[in-house]
Amino acid sequence: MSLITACHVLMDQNQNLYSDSILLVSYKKNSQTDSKDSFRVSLLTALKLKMFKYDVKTDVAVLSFASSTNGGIDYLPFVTKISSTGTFLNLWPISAIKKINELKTLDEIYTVGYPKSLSLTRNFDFNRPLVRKGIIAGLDFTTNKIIADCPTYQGNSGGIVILVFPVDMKYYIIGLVSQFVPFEEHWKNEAYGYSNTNVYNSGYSVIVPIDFILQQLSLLGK
Amino acid sequence: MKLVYFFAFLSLLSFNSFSQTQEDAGSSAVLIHAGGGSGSGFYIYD
Repeated sequence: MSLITACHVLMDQNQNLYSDSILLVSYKKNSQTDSKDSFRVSLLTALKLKMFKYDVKTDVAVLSFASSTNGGIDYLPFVTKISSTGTFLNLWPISAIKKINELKTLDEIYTVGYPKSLSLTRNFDFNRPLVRKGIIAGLDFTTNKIIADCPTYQGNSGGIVILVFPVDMKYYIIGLVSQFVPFEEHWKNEAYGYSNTNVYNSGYSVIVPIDFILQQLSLLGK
Repeated sequence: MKLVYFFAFLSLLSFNSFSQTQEDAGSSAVLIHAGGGSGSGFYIYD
């Protein structure tokens, strides 16, 4: 069992970790209940044991987390269980994937994540995941990136992107959220020498395809 | 309209042959706290 996320959620561009350990929180089944799993994970120890792999260029980080044995779950030594009901219900099978060359524009997708940068926090509990619907707007086979017409915000990074495959109408992982595509507005007042740049969320997002995630998973220590 | 989409999504997931139920899939994101910031992730198994 592994955790998948975006590299920039855990470290800066110089590969400096934001913290030696991270806290993971996930919810069982109905996210409106309080049933959840919480874990503290030492990234430094995982790194030493080769159970944590990442690639800044593709913005992918994978962390081996636990293994299942005889119906139970063995957590790796760098994982500290804070609260858990004992079973994972929100795991995705790695067999349920679609690679970038299997995708088409206009395919229907969903993102699931925690866009905690959104406001109105008094009206919503942003500690709960939110689903967003979109479509594949474009496929860039030069950089091997998926462009989605699906707004994402700070906090969505690293979240799963699910495809509704039009052939069988089943659900597959196609990648993770990397960043939103900015719309930049430049203006300049030549008379007074002022200039400014406003940056907005265009509503398009960059999705890292599952292909790159598989590459990092193959590098994990066994 | 967004609610309609959301519930349509959840109901479709219930017919998925994978191990995900509609509730699991809808909540399959992991909240990651790293330093002072936070992000999302997800668990997979092989």
